[in-house]
Formats: sequence, C-alpha cells, structure tokens
Amino acid sequence: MTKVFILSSLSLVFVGLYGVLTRKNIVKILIALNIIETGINMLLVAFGYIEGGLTPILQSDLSIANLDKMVDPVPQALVLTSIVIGLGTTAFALALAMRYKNTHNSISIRATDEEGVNV
Amino acid sequence: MNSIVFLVVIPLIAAFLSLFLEKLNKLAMYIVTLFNLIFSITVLMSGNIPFNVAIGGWRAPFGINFVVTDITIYFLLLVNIAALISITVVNNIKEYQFYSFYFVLLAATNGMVLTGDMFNFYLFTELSTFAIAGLVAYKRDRLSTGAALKFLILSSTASLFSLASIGLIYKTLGTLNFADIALKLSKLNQASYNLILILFLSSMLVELKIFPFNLWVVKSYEGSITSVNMFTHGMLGTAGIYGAIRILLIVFPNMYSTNISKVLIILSVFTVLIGEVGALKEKNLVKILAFSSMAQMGVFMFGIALGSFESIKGALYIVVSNYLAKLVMFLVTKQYSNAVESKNYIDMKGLGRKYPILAISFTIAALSLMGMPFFAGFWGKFSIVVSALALGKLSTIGIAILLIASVVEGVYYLRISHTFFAEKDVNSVNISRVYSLIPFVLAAIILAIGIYPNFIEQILWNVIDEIKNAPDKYINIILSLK
Amino acid sequence: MKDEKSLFINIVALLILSFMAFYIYKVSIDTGSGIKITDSITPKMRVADKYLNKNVLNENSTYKFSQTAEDTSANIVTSVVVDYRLFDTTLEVIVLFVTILGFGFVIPKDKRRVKMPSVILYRWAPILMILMLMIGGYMFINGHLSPGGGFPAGAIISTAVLIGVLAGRKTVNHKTLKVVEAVAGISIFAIGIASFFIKGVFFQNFITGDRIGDLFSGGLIPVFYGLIAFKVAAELSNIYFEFYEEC
Repeated sequence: MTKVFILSSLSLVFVGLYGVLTRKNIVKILIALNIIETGINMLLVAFGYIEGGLTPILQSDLSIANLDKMVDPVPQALVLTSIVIGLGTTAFALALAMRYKNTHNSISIRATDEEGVNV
Repeated sequence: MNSIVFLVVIPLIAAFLSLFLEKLNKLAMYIVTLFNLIFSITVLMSGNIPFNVAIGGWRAPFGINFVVTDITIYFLLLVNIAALISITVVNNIKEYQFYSFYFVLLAATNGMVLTGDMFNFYLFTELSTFAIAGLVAYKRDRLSTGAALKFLILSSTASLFSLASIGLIYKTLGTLNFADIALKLSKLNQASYNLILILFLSSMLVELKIFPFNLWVVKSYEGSITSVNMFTHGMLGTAGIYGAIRILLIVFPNMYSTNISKVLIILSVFTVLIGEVGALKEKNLVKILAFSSMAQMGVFMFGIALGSFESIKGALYIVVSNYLAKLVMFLVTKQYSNAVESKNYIDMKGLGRKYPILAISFTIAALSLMGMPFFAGFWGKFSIVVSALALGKLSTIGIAILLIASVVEGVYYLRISHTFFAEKDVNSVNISRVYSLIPFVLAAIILAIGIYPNFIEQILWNVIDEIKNAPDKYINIILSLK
Repeated sequence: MKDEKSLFINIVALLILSFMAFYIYKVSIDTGSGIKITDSITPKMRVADKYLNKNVLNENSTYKFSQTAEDTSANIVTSVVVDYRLFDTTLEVIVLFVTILGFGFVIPKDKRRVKMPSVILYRWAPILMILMLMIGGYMFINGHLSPGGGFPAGAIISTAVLIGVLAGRKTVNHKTLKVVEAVAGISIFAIGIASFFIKGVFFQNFITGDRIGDLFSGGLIPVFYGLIAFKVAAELSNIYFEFYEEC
C-alpha cells in the first residue's frame, strides 16, 4: 500500500513539473506548482505510513499500549507547515499575477520577450 | 546564552508593530538593526563561543536548536553589518509593507545563520524568499512585478525539491538535526546520499546565484531599488553562502568523494562565463553589478567544490572581498545614478573628477574583484589558483577559464572607472559629501586586508579549523547537551 | 502564449523529466550497502519514538492516560507541532503574515461593482456564520485532543467572514482585522519571551502538570492554537476583503 502512495505522489510531482516546464500561462504554472506541492506533501505522509497503523492520537490506555503501531507524527507535522507555505505562495503569486496583467497586458510569463519591449 | 533567540524574535515583533508605527518605522528600523548588531558583537566578545541553545528546552536532536560557533558568529556580523549599511540608503519610503518585509528579512537571515535544524533552515529560507520577493516588487511597475513573480516561481519550485530531500532524510535517518544527520550520514547508501544532496542543493543554488538557477538575478537587480539590491546581496547572499558552507562542508562532507563536486565545478565555471560575458556588453551599471555578483558567486562555488582547505580559504576570501566591494559599488552607483538620473554609466562621465572619493572607492572595489595584488580579492584568487593547479585536469581547465574571465572582468570595470574620470562639465550635478564616508571606509578596509592580510587570515583559519574538526567542534557540542 | 504547444519545448521537458525519473529509479534499485531510500525504518529508529513515548527529557519515563507527562497533549501531531517543534510553527505564522502582506501590497486596487446578494442569503447568513464560528471555536479548543488545530480553525472562522462579505452584511472592518492580526502575532512571541523570563528558555511550555485527555490540558497548546486561529482568520479574511474592496 505504501508503494501505491509513493508512486502516485511521484506521478503527481512529475505531472506538475511538466506543467511548470512547458506552460507559459502564469495561472497554469501556479496550478502546476500546487500539483507538485500536493505530490510532495503526499510523499512525506507516505514516508511515515505504516501498514495497518493507528492515528497518533491517544484515546485511552489501550492506545498507549500500541504506541509502536502508530504512524509517524513528524511527517504529518511537517506537511501541516508546508501546506501553509503553499497557500502563502499561491496567494502572493496570484496577486503578483494580477499586477502583472495590469502592467504587461498579458499573463504570459514571457510577455516582455514576446513584445520586445524594454522598459 | 539562551538570549540569542532575541536576534530572531525582536525583528519579528517589529514586523508586526510596523503595521502601526507609520512615520516612526524608519527609526524602528535603525533601532532593531543596531540592536541586532550590538547583540552579535556582545556575543562575539563574551567568550562563550561555541554554545548550543535548545529552544523550548527540548534537547538537540528532538527539538530545534540554535548553534553559535566561530563560523556562525562571523557570518552573523556580516549579515547585520550589511543590514546597517543598506538601511542608510533607505529614504522616502512611506509604505509600511516595505519595513515589515525588511524586518522579516532581517529575522530570516539571522535565523538561517543561527539554526541547527534542517526543516527550520528550510522555513527561514522560505521566509527570506517571500520577503525578498515583496521587496523586489516594491516599485510595482512593469519590470519589478515580472522580476518578483519569476523569482517567486523559481525559488518555490526549487524549495519543493528541498522539502522532498528533507522528507527523504527523515525517512532514511530519522532525524532533522544538522549534527545528527552529519553523524548518521555514513550509514547511508551512496546512491541515496547523492539523490538527497542533489535535491537539497537545488534550493541552495537559487540563493547562491549558480547557473541553471540564476536567471532571476539580473531582472530582480534591475527592477528593484538600491537598498533592496543591497539587502539581496549583503543579507540573503551572505546567509546563503553560510548555508552552503554549513551544509556542503559540515553536514555532507563526503561530497568530495562523489561526482557531485565535479558537477559543481562545471556549473560554477558556466556561472562565471555567463556572468562575465553578460556584463561585458551591458551599459546599465546595476545590471553589470548583477552579472558580476553572479560571476563572483561562481568563483566562490569553484573554491568550495575543489574541496582542499587552501581553496576553501580562498573561497572565504572571495566572500569577504565580494561582500565589501559590492556594498561600495552599490553605494557609489546609487549616488551617481541619482545625480544624473540615469543608470547608464556613460551618462556618469566626468563625475569622478568632481567627486573623486566615490570614484576612487569604486575603482578600489573593482580592482579587488579582479584579483589585483594588494587588494583583498587577490589572496582569494591566489589560493584558489594554487590549489586548483594541484588537483588534476578538470580543475586546471576550470581555473584557466576563470583567469581569462577575470581579465574580461577587468576590461569592463576599468572601462567604467575610465568613464568616471573622463573630462566633462558636470557643474549642474550635486552630491552631498556625507555620502562618500561609508564607501571610503569600506574601500579602506579592502585595501587594509589586501596589504596586511594577517588579521583576516587568523579569522579564516579559525573557520577552517572548525570545518576540519567538525566532529569535535560542531557535532559533539550539540549532541552532548542533555 | 505563442508557443505553449510548441513541440520542441514539450520534447525537452519530457527528456528532462524522463532523465529524472530514470535517475530516481536507478537510485531506488541500487544494491550498495547502507540504508537505501526504499528501506523503511520504523518510528523506533526515528526521533518520533521519543515524541510518541513522551520521554525526551527523561529517557526511562513512561506515562498513562489521564495522568501527567512531559507533554500532556493527547494528539501527538499537535504535541510535535505546538510543543516539540513550536518554533517552526511560529515561523509558519510569519510566512502566512508575510505572504498576505505581499498580497495586499501588490494586488491592483480596481473598483469593482458588486452584485447585490439574494434575500435568502442575506437572511440566512447570520445563522450560518454562528454555526461556522462554533465549529471553528471547537476546532482550536480541541486541537490537542482531536484532529484539527489552529490553522484549520482559522480557515473555518474566516469562511464565516466570507459569508458575511458575500451576503453584503457589515461584519468587521479592515482596521479591526489588522489589529487582531498584529495583537495575536505579537502575543505568540510575547509568550515565547515570557517563558524566557520565567524558565530561562524561549518558547517553553511553562504550564505543566495537566492530565492527558482533559479539556484543559496541554499547557500552553490551546492558548497558542487560539492565537494562531485568530491570526489566520484575520489574514484570510483580509484576502476576501481585498477582493471585495467596494463592498
């Protein structure tokens, strides 16, 4: 099962990278970035996954007895942080893209080169 | 010395306060920067170095820790001095966001230098990225918006790779602490080790301005105001160099037995070539400085990638010389381009005759970057050349290209200096003499290092000693703390 | 976007990606000695073992449910996020602060005409808002007992503001949001500094002796999560207001 998680997250990463490398539309690039990020987050969680593991939440003495069956909490904590970073990047970059549209009258990342304008 | 955390916490609190301070923001900027500088000088003088601070009271591999060793404290000083010099050229800025970004950048660069935890380092890097992107976009015109957007997309893509590498490190070694990783890395399979290092390097190379990741540099230098250029160069650049030294030389020291160091040599030679050739045909002084700082980073990376202690010493000399020289050059460029209202150096013709101190400082900085004898940069290039010649074919070819590139660098810098001293009537121009003071002092330091390198040599040997004896001087200090 | 579908760029990108995929594949089937990236070491060999057993300070200590331990949060992810690695979380808060600040800084301030909401939305908005505030409040108060915590709670609370914006009701204004954001942010660091003056260590959880599983346990964790929730809510609401400036 872990293998399935890792393979699917890697394929997400590659799909996203393909998007970042080939697209010119800034919004599409940002969507592709978000896809990579989802892939990486999934990868991190998959790294801490255990077959048939328990959630790392203590509910009674029984769960304390089964501590070694719990999935790793650290990757989940890292992912929590990285989700927020991703949200921040997307928000900031989208606002920049709106400003870019105002100044370049285009949302192509190569707008400056295509028009041959040097300001 | 638990109070070292104040270096990060005070600027962050100031970042929140700056939402309300309005006109007092500039004062707050000076107070906080001076606090950071004085605090780091106190730490240097206190004689407690090295020490380790466990934040939250959780001991080293389990919690997040701040480490202060010889390398750390000197880089801390460099970052904070650059901050103080850079803010002297900040004027007429009313937007409170600029100040908030500055405070966050100050905290982030201090934190990058202090931290001893991989994920924490990644977070500080992200913080500095966002702050720089915001600062670059400050003008909000065509150029700066494009530059900020490209920088943001490039560095966030690269940082996702480093996040994957952090995940792999945690999966294989089960720890996130620098010292603990360094201790356990020998257990790792060689191929996995290479993959992890390559993934992590990708995000470091963005800040180090090394080829394939350096295309943001020129646009963002061109699009932003001078003080932001100085932040990018003096604070983010210096902290990035620290990260390279700490991670490549202490955390991943086996790098030199693999092919990665060879790849780095090739990449750094490419960087130098792109930088020098790009600068040669450029007329915009700020763009020239951007290309030149790329090239200097290439030389630094070349020295690090060679891997002998002599070449690392040379690389550190390059760091010091580039740090001082670029600060001088940015200050001079700011004054001259303000005076003639143009960034083209041909328009600055004749200014050197009216304001000789600025032009002479610029020339000293340029000579030091070229590696002329009796200037700071000479000792760096000299050490790198000596050790590269002894290290085989690839490094010999590399150093030959590097030396040709420095001749190219000499050509364009001396052309600029010559233009400054050319004859032209410039009576309408007015620059206050006060602004000559800081460039003059910095240029005097460059000369002093070039003529009498013993003082700085002593410091550099301390730094190299720490790299040599990393298990004793870094790893054990952190992990022995209960 | 002239050559978005250009064959050349696509082929180059595919070549780069297939090279990367091949390299990763080669690393994963490598047969050299040492730990490989495909090996999965158990949490026992990782730092997580100490977090699960709550014995970072004293290696031999054990704990029981509804008794005290070195960290009394029942949700171990929370105890990593807000206790063992609290400093990371405070930086994460700053990341959000900086990006939202940049967002407000660069977004072009155009005038937009907002369509009037329907009567149904206008009447039902307060009820929905109360429900959302309740769920958000529950989330950050119970962050140390159940899945959830400050960030999702903040996002949920901010949707209450969003519904207010969509329904055209006056809820909070810009100035209040700014004050909430700054006060919550400063308090997080103020608590960190307070712990320096009380215990001599930054960002230490200085309220100890709670029992695992109680509503009021985890020491400072609910306090931090509450502050984070308000800060995140204020920041995300700010985004909605930036889009609906003329509301």
